[in-house]
Amino acid sequence: MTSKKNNESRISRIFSFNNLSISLTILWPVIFVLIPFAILTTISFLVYDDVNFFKMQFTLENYKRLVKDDYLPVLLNSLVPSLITTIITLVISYPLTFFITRKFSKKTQKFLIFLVIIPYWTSSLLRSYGIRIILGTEGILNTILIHLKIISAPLEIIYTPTAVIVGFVYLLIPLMILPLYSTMEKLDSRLIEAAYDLKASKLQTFLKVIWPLTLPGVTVGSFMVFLPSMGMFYVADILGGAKSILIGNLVKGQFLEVRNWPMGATLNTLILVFLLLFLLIYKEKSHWGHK
Amino acid sequence: MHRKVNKDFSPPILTIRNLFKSFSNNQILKNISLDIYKGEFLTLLGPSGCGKTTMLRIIAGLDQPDDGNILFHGNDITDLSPNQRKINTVFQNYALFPHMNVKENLSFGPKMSKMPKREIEKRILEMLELLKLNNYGNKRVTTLSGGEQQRVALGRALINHPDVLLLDEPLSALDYSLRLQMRFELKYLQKKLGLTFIFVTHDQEEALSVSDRIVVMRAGEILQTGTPEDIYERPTNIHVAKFIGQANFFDQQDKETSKNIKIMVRPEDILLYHGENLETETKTETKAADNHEYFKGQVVETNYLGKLFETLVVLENNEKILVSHFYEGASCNNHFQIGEDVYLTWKKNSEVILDDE
Repeated sequence: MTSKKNNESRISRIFSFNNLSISLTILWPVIFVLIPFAILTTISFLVYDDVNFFKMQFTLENYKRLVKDDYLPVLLNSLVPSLITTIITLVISYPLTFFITRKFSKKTQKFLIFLVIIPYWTSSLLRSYGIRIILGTEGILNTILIHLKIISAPLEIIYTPTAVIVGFVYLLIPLMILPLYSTMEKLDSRLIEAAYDLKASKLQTFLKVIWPLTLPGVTVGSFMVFLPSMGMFYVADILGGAKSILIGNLVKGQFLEVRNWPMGATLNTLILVFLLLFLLIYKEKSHWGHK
Repeated sequence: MHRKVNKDFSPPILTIRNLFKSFSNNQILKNISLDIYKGEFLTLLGPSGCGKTTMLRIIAGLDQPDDGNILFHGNDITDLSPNQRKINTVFQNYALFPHMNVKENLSFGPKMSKMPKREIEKRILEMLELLKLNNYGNKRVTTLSGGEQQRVALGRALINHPDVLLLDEPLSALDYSLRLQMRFELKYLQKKLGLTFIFVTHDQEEALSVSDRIVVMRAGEILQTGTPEDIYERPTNIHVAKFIGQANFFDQQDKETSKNIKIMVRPEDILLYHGENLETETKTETKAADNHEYFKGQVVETNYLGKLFETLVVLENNEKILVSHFYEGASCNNHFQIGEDVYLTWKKNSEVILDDE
């Protein structure tokens, strides 16, 4: 009798809300992130097969091809649009967010940040098509500029790397503004006053106090913009025509067009290694923020 | 006890002339004028919202007045930015730079004013020594206790050798015993370095204990300026009497002008007598103290405070009077029971006559 009762209570304890919710939060990333990445990484060490995608046979050929077939320069080049995008979003977002946190009441700040987020709730695919309508040769931008007689012939922005970067900046800017806002909102304005009081100029105050204290937001924001921009191949497809090659386009090409899964997986693993390196550097550099 | 400020001979180091300041239709400072002299410990005292912090910020250059001037050594500095004034501030919650260690915080000011490296090193050591922070140079300020952070904040300002140091409620975040200790240290440092301190507080006890001169403020105006004794013994204003220490008021009419006046008597100046003893014990004394009126009342509350013993008496006209004397034991003659009928009056010449407002 007693042992049965014990068993029952043990079972109910195992399926308690706490245990279930904790297991779920652990299982989710394991099933949907860790395992797929593990599979992909494994595939990158297997041999290409044109019928079954890959053969269960170990090889380092894919990694050798990275060097042999000049993938590396292409990969590095494909980082350039992401890098430019990150710099532009930072240059726009930093002063904008700083201005928002210093000049408005808490309530107005929340509203303005809300406005920044709203477009992000629409699919980025739809918004990419939206940008195409604006930037097109007979698009809204050119029509307005020609009507205002600022230009005589339409600007050819669409299907150039510039259009891709314009698209990235527009799509990803909320991801830069949000982390910046969260660090700048916490920045005590008395620290800025203290710097002035200690005879620092405006520039010195920025370099010695404001910048180091908002650096965590800058770093997180840069990751949030840089990393997704590497993978948003559809934006490059819609706005950049066939000309621009991002890492995302390369990976997509290997999987869907060439159907060489091991090679696609290899490129993917390379991105993963890059990413982990970045995160490690960030963790090293930001140790003071976490006490 | 307190150093007399040499007003008549030396010109003021800082002159504030007809200062006005409003924030969104809310008048914070209404025509404030004040002279501050070299080497004095001046306290701006008042309840929160009286404008004392705003005044400090205007002196520091962190806020601009709507009207009025600030003269520093006789020169108008009203339009100068904070980094053009030889004034430093100790902020209320210290505002230490959290990403720097103690040494980096201390050297921030000297570095900004391009002081030679060797001089900076020398001054850092001096400051660490002066503030008893010798082994703290490389510690992160976020790991320090409140009292230690307070010292770093003080050192970060003092290291620049400012002509005037502004202190915005620097002790309010500390616990009671540390606050008492820091009071003495502040006063000691100020005298030792011969600096001019402008200190802002809402704590009247703190103001009385550290200041050479106190400026009592209320609703954007200066009510009274004077030494701590002036302010406590001879308040010129009913609000000052109420705000500094505790005060009892007796309503009366001026015999000549028949205007309503208030007689202010401090709790320690009230003489309290057991009801049944009045006839025998004090009649003789009373004759000497001519003109003295006796008030009849009843004890409603007693309060043992260790050093002091407080007795709360309700008079026949329902006025409450607080009496305090040194505690000398329950068997002593001036120990009173709740419910006891008593008579009271005040020590001769201890009363202050104030206009009824």
